[in-house]
Amino acid sequence: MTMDTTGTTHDTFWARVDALLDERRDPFDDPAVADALLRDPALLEPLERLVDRLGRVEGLARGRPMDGAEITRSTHRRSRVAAWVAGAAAVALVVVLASRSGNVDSGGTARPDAVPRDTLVADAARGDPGAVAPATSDVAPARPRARIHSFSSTVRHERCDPPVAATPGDPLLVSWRQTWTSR
Amino acid sequence: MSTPPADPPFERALLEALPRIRGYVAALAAGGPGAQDADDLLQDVAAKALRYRHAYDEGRALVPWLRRTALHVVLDARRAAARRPAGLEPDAEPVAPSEPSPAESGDELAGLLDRLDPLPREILLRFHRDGWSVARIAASHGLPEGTVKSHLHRARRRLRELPGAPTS
Repeated sequence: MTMDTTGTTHDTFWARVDALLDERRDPFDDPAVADALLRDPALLEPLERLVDRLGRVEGLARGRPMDGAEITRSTHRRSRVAAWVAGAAAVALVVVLASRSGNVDSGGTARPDAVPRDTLVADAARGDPGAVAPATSDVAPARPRARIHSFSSTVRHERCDPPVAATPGDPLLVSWRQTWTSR
Repeated sequence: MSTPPADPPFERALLEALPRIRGYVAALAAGGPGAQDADDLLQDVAAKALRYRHAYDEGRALVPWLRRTALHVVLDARRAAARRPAGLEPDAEPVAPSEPSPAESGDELAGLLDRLDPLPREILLRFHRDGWSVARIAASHGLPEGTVKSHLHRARRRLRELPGAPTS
């Protein structure tokens, strides 16, 4: 396409530029635009000014002006970082939930606040509210702090009876009931 | 005339920028009378850029400067060809490329956008900043697509006609 660059020429030139920009194409790569620039080099300066300003407008969406290659690289980098963060957060959540629900850390060793189940069974015989019924495991949970027990109840005892061997006035039971009745 | 030693940072920037102007150079090479080979023209542009790199301000964008250089290379070659009797080799001394307009700051751009009418500015931002299609803009504003394009073209015309901030 050859554009006449006299008379209404500039209108024709800018109409072509607008059509290219509407299609998100670079006007500088268009043969008709190049031909018009060769015939009238004075058109180069306003075209460069327009393309530069539009490029800066496009950069506003990302906080600063960028060229096309930068935009592509930045988008891919952000996607990778977001995927890594999401994965790490999911793994951390699983580890925390698993360690809180089992009183045994991920390495299989008893936590410092755990005591032998035999001791708790003996406590139960004496009426200790933190005691538990006999079981096969060697290690059983010690009486957890109310906050942790409340969390554990929420996760594990949503549809079961109150903790075994808890007396009516026991703060653990109170905590459990508060959690239960608040639902 | 001897060429001063090349500046590695400039050479690197030039090597990165040349592929980005190849389409433009190819269009220039094919356009108008006396079509040239695009790769020959790109090589001439690179040679001229190296020769006149002292005229290039590092704080400014290289691609517009190269585009201007390419245009001058083509125009010089055609002028020389028009003056030259048939059979003689070209001997014209190339003209140093002129400086592109200085880059504008974000504040200056905001000031320019403020000077657009509200609806054309809104449409311009939706299309160029947010990447919306004309059809989506038309639907969101309850306007025909032709009207959206008219506002968009008006905003672009205003944007290119507005003078930049004076250089300090």
